[in-house]
Amino acid sequence: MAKLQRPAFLCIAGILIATLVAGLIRLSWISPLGSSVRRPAEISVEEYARGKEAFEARYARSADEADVLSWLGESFLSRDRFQKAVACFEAIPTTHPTYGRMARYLEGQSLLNLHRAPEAEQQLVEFIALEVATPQLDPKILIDARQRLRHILEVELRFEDLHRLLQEIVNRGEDESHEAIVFCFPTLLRWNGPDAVKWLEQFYHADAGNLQLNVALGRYRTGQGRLDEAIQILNEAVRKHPEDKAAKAALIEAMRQADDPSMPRLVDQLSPQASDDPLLLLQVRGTFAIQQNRPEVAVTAFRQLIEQNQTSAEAWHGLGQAYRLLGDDTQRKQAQTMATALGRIQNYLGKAMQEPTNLDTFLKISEICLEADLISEGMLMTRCARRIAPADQRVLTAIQQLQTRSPKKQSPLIPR
Amino acid sequence: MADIATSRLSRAIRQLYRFCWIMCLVMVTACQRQSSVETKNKKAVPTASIISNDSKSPLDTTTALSTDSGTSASFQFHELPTGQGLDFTRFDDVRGLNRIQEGPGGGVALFDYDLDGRLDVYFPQGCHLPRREKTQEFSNAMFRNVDVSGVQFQNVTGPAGLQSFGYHTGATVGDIDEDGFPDLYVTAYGRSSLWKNNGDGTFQEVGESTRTVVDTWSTSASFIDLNGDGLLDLFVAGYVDATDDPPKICREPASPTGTKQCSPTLFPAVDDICLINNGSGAFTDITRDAGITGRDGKGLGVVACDVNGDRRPDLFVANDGTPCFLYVNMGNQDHLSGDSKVPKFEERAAEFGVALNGDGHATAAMGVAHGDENRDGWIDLFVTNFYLETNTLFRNLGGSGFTDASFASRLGPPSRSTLAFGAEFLDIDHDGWLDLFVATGHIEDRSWTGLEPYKMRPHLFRNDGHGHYRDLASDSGPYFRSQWVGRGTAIGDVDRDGDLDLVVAHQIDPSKLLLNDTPSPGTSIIIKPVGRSLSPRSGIGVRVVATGIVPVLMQEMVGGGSFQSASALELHLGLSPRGSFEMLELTWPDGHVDRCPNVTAGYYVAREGRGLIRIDVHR
Repeated sequence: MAKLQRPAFLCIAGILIATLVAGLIRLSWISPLGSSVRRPAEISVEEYARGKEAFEARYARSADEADVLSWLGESFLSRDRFQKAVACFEAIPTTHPTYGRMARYLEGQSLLNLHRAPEAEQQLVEFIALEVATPQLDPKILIDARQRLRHILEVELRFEDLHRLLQEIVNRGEDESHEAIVFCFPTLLRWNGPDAVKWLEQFYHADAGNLQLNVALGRYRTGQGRLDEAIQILNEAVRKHPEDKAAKAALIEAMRQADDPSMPRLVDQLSPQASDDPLLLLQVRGTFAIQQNRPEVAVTAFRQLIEQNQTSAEAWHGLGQAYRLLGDDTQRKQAQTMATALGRIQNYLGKAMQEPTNLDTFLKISEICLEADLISEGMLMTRCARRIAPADQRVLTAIQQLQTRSPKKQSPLIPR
Repeated sequence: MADIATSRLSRAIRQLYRFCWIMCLVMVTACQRQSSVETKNKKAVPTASIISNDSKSPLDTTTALSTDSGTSASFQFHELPTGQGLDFTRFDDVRGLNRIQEGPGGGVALFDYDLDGRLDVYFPQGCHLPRREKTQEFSNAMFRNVDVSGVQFQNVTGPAGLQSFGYHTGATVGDIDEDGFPDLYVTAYGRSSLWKNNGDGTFQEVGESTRTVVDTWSTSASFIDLNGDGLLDLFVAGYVDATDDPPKICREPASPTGTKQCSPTLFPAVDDICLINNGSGAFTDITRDAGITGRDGKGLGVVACDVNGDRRPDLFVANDGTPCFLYVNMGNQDHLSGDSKVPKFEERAAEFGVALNGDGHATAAMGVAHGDENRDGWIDLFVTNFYLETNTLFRNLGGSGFTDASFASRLGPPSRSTLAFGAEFLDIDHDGWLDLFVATGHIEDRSWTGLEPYKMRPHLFRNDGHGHYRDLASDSGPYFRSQWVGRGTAIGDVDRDGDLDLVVAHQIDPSKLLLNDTPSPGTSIIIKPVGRSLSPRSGIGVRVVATGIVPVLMQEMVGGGSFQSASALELHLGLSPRGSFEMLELTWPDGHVDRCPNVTAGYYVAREGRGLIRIDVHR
């Protein structure tokens, strides 16, 4: 009995092992991670079946889960059924060799359509970061992803993050005139327009607990003159996130605009100026120091602000005020000249945004840049001009003038 | 020779006419003291008196001024009822094309053109575009105030010879030929015009002969003696170079018309113009020679006043979307231009802190109000701006510059939800502190967005005397509870009850005269200055200070101001029952100072060197 049982056992075990190995081999050969892709609850069995059928009809091969979900996701996205699209793409892991990366892009797109901005941002950032892994992707898709990310950052008033993104876009030469302008003159453009507010409100309604959205909403309310609301939102944000410098800066700014007597107390509670201070906090520090007749403190704050944003009208204007208090006429004049030049540029930026192929406008901006010693910005504006009229002598002259003026002045942030 | 004789004859007739008027109105009783303080609503002003600058009377207090604000919880204004003859609706040819020309609308001039002691109203009018069609459907309009005891107007455009067609924008008033009768300069999208007051109730267009015609797009203008020769010169703000044939149209597919108004950034700026009065009946363009060389300025508002205490008028220009200009008057240059002394200006807006707002941004500046709103003896400026921008209060720092006090004054935040044009500081409730009226309304109908209103409620801010303002508009009468497309604004005591009334030029709706009924225990002094010798006869540039009171109470009769409009050439001081002052000190543009003690509430003519002459404006 024992003799009979042993070969049978070995036989059964062998069959089991062979089956297991064969199964593993099949999985890794056909769809290495297929087992981790599962139909999400939001997709019904019928929808899944229809998707599978459609895929197989289209590609004449058997569809696995990832095939079906990717197919369904794109289908839902094209029909504006974003919730279902998100569910489909969410089920596809980034590591999936065929669909992983595009799933992030399309999920980001779907989430943005649902106004779930923080999640959309996460997906888009992940997608962009994967570029090295799959460089063969259509560059237009990458550009589109960056544009969508730019939109999110612009709406959320995250100028620091926006600058980093635009830096990348400009470095790659993928910038259109809009990006070049926002990159060079991020704070000269009106940011509190009704459309931007509308977008942010939609973002906020989708994720009211998000700190960055709360801070942005508070800033927009400030920009709309709805200061009571702004202070309430920002107070709550600071209470929940007492260490967040951006929230604190936005609150102080709202209180300043409301002429709130408790604003100085809040400023006094600020940690000392640091290299990681957000732009708004530096502006708030400088402005408050002017109010308190402490021009040295204001100079320090505005100087750091200028290091981070050379075309900050607020900083140059504030610096002029600070030097006036210090009685330093030379520095005052220099700062005020710069502020006024930026004011003139501001006027032409509006035109450049609305008429992006108007050569004269870009030449005019680069001319004022030259006057104001904003060489890097001038160069970028001539780059825009050159795209409009590559052989135009005025463009070439402008480039030459900028190069001659001060090649060393070129900011390391901006490529030649 | 015949011309000269005719001219002399007509001048003599005018002098006689004026003399008769003064004799009718003025009863002189030298140095008579007023023992009672009249309430501001009292219609009849008692017997007239001269308050001489030679008076040796003790500096006793006869009139009271408060150092803190009164107790008004609201202001009260009522619209002049229809049927009172002031019937004017501006035509801007608004018909869905959203051309840039349609945006700024028009202004208003409030002045006593016939010297009958009552303020008359002039409105510049628009026309169909393009202008080459030369339609004559709508004319500029002059309304004469004909009621002795109240307010009743009569359209006298035709009889006054003021019928004129074109796309007119603004008006400014001043006596350019020193004949005592105020003349009228009318700006335009196109050809501006100068209307000489003949002194007999009629006007004559003398733009060509005086070389004052500006052919670009002029908006606000200001008469002011820039070179100290006693004659009024002219500064004209230029806006943008935009053709109407064909007009530039900007597309906005989502809008009902498929268009939107093109931003002024899409148009090149046109230069401001500075013209010096030669005294020989003509003006000389000294723009470049005088240093009026600001670049890219798109001027909409202008005010000429002394901002740095050197007694020379400076020029502030509110530019739309570009840094504002402050031309500081440095005095006359050595060389002459023709027969005229040429003043030298330096553009120092950045240095004075008024080129940009406190955040360093060039705002879409429209109009500008002036006044010593914090009673420190220096003129402050209030600039109106675009929707979602804050209007800017520039507080004068003792003549060395300005600081943006928009937030500290609490004037900034409420203005983000409006788009403002005309603005005037005025002491509505006679507490001694200047309150503020702001006309509002969008440049185009974007209400289809659901985000931006077209018509808007105006602002009426009360100055609390502690540096803060509160908008009391909603409690100040039905007008302020309605929404309008407000543009130019002018102030003056139209009904001669001692307080300041408002005229607001509208787009779309009829323009309105708002009569001030605000109850107040305070009273007022209204002064019509008359200069002589080296001060302009219109009194523009004169400054009156109530001495012996803290904080100081000061008014300056400036050139221009508001938006495309001209307020009455009269100074108004609100008097509170509390506090007191010693005397009124009038400093004339030529440096002469008249000191007048014992001034009580009432209406006065101030003749340079002769003190105040009290008059009964209701006789």
